[in-house]
Amino acid sequence: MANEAQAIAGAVPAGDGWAMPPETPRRVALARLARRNPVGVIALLFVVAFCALGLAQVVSQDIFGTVLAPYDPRDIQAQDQFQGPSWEHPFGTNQRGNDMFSRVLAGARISFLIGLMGVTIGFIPGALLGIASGYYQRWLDYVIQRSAEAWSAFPLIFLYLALITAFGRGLQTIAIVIIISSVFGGSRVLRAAALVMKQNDFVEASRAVGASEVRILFHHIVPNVMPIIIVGASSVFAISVLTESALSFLGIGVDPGTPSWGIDLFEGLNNARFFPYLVIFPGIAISLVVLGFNMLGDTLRDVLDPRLRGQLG
Amino acid sequence: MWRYALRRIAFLPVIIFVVSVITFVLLRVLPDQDPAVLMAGQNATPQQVQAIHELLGLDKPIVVQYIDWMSDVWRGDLGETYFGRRDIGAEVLRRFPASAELVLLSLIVSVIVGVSFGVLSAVMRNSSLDYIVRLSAVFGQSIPDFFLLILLIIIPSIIWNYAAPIGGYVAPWDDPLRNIRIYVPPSLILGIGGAAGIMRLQRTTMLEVLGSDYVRTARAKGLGAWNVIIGHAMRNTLAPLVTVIGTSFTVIFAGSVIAERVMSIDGLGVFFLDSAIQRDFPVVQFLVLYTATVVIVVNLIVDLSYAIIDPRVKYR
Amino acid sequence: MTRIYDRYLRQRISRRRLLQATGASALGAAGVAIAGCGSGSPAGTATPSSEGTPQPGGIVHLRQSLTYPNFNPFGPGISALIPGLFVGFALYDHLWYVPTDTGEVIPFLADEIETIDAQTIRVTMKDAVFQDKPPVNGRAVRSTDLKASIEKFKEQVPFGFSWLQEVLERVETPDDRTIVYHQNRPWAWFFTASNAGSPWTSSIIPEEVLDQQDILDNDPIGSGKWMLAGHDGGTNVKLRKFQNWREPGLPLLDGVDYIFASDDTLAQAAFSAKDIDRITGLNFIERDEMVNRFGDELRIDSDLSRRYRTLMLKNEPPFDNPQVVHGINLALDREEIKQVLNLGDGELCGPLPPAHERFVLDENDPDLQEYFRYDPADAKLMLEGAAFPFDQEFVLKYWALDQSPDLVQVIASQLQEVGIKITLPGAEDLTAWLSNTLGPGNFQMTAFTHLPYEDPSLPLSFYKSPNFMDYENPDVEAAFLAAAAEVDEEARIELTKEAQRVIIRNWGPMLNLYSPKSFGATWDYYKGLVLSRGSFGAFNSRAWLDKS
Repeated sequence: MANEAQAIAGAVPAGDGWAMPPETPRRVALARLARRNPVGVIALLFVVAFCALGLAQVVSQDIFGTVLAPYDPRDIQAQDQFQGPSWEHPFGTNQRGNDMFSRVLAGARISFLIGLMGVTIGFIPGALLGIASGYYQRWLDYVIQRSAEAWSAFPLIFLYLALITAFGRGLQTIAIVIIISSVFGGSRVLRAAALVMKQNDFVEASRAVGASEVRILFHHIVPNVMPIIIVGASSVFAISVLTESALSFLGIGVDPGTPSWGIDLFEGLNNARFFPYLVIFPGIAISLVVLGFNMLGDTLRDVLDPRLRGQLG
Repeated sequence: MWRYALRRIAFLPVIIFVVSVITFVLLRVLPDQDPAVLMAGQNATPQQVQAIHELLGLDKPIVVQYIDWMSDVWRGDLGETYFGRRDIGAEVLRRFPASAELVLLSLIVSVIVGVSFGVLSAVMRNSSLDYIVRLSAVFGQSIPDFFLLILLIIIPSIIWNYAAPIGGYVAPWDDPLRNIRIYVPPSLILGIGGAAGIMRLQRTTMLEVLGSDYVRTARAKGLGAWNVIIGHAMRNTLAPLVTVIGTSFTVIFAGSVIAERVMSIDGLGVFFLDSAIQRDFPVVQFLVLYTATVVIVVNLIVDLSYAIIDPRVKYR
Repeated sequence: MTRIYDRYLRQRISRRRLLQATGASALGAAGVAIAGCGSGSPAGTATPSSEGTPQPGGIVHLRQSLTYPNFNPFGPGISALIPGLFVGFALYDHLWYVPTDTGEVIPFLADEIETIDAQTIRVTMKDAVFQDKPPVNGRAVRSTDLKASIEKFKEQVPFGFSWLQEVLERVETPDDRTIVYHQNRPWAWFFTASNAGSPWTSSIIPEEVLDQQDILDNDPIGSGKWMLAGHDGGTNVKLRKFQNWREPGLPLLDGVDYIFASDDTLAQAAFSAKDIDRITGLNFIERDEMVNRFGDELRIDSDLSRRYRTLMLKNEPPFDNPQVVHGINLALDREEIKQVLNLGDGELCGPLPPAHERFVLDENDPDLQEYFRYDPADAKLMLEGAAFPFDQEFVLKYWALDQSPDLVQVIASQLQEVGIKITLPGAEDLTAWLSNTLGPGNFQMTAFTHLPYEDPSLPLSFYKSPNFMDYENPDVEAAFLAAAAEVDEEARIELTKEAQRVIIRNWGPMLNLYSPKSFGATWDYYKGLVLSRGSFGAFNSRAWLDKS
């Protein structure tokens, strides 16, 4: 829920020390990582599994119009309300008799979509913008820096509250806030990295042998800040998932009835005292997904940060 | 340094101005949002609506409205809520202590937990403690505080029938126990969430400092291990620490809205939330200005203290 | 499939459990209500006398679930309903009150009530003083205060059809103790309609503060049994005993502290911790959990609410077509709605909620049976016959409390069954919903829960123009007015039933669904409550705390 730019900046210590020697064989580093860091591997597997589930839900719900779950998560089953966990309903059923297991499965859609949007529409363009602005450092840099500063004056939630007053609630407004934050977040982190990179000897060397600016940018700078982009993307994904669920939890996010983990917790505010399972499973789902992305990002950061290499494991 | 500070301070009103203008315009240009219609009630005649328009100054050009509003705010007159005609200034003052205490306590928790465990983790590098601390940092960052806050209500209730008192702010000097019971548990949750970043950074910088020459020299001089850590190493980790505290503040500030909502704490965060849902524009307008100012000022203080703590830092 | 519902249903009927639940309960009537068998009280258990001797003192803690925007009963507009009802119950006095169950007029401030003719009622008042706050400073209540209050209500809260605007012509005050109501036509519902069905527009407010918005908003002065002692911007309201109330020695309690808890979980936790002394709105599973946990320490009561859930359609295409409304009605499975929202506890609701027992249609009435008929296939045919635009999306608005989010989800799913497309926007805040949605009639469809009106004519008056739906139907109006003009009660009951039939036959676009029944739990030290008598319990001044 924090301001995204700052949160990413916190997760990825930008600035000096981030210069990866270009000759590092990344494949070797990753293999080493896998051996030394089982937690990271588990996180990676979990993230992959979640993305597969999310993608499957998006495809089945948005293209085929069915939910990939044992029951329809919106199907109202009077007579089947408030059932505790059982073989039939592993996560129980809620006040409308919705199968909570199906709701948790189906809820992956919103989380995945929001995370994906944050990364692809927000963070990655932001990252490219940041690299460009850090590398060229002209008026573009000034404009981006100042607007990022103004935007980061708010924690996301306050921004969103201001925006819903004007635009109304819903997925669109959430997406707008998350995407813009990710753009600025990405640009801020990657600008710093590009600034450092620019001063490296190999850039100077390329320039000396007459390489074009575009070539330097895409052949030297971008590949070398790739680790930062990967770590940042993982962190943005986690923050986006957390943001959507927090807003839905406050009753100002996606529309009611939409299978969303945040909505499930929101509804739990009225039922959790006697039916705790109604909040525990969706709560664990959010935690696990965010944990997966954070762990993955963490492991990558530890491995990719040269200062800490050799101090791990 | 002072030039930098001055420049930052000069830039402050610019950001606040931009933010407030954007909100002001957004709230006014959208259709279907005429507050006068809401205030006049169902059977109001166009004349009544017009009268309210004039009363609120809504018939003036938007630039004039903005200047009027800003000068009112400057004089301390924040206007009234649309629903209920409550004096916004008085409401903000009344709600401020609850929110401030929550945020401050959480920040203290996060600094204490973050710094102490960060240092321990660095000093006892690669021990199981280090591993646990790092793992819990990730957990603290990942488990949403709203989930933990619900658990905070239901678990004590299910086990001991215990509930934190609700129903209004009590200052710590009036009823310390009640105050602690209300504010400490949610502060722990928010604070530990905010501690993750501090913990991680503290560990990293500490490791760096411990590996540096002057610490080795100090150790060689025969100073005790903890002497070195506290007397020499800690001081050199302060600067980055201050920066990350700024970030933690933002995390906690945002989290306080959720904590207030879940625990029925009658603070500014809930005021913002409810007013946004009700579309109570004057409140939203002011609270946007307020949160922007708080965050910007905190970040400014962080940046400036960075320079004071670490004289090597040169600002352009 | 193991159906938890069946399991609980069986439990519910178990007599032994029931007795355990009511325990040392003094509230025999409440016990009967739980058992649902309607006769006798739990024999062999404690009787009301076991409540002991009432002792004065103590402050009771109750839950407040929404913030009052202010305490002004005059608006603007319909959002004044929320503060208006609160102060009407808590701070201001009234001439009389009519509990729904008996229908008898119980005088409060009124001393003598004399019906001079069908259009004129003369009332003399008892001695009473206002609360001692400036500028009123504890002066005596005069008939001119009531006159000024009524006139201000008449001027300030015009919405829908109301007795105040349409029937009351003027009030006169021959002397300080006497007030005479002049109506422009005989109005048989006078005693219930004069307070808008709830003690709101009958509030007696000192005339010198009627124009002082700041006092009305923030520090109201009344002559009721409680004084406003403090509040945090409309929440955590604190009431204290008014020492000079017209009934000496009462109320027994020193005060009421309302504690704001927006969510049920928090309120239930606070109740379990005894931070709140009474909790309501439990479903039977929650009730059983409470009883299992606390056993004899608790008393359980239950009440068929005068509230009722409703689906309101705006009288514009396509809902201005009675056949469409009929078709939608056929698509509504009221039993399922009741099951989802209240686990089956409640009664289906015709044009008049079932709690107004004496006036409602018999369940075998063919019109009422048609009203309750659920037949999606037939619904579809009827809608097709009326050329219903199945490709159009309709927005169904609602507010955040009272399970409305679940209500609209069930309604939406039932209407989607027959092919009607429904969009659910985000929930609105109640105050905002009243001012933005209901008040100005700014909706296509809206579903909500009505307040507990004590006036049997009020639920029917929603179909009489002017109303929120812009619905107009001469037959409905004629039937409604015929009942209101009939002074003889037996005849009026028949005419009221007929009016309900006319509303059903014309398919007035407000479709009532059911009245919920829920359970309340009270700690055994909080005694002397008047329960199961609707809002009348709120005027009880003999509740007391046994905390020695």
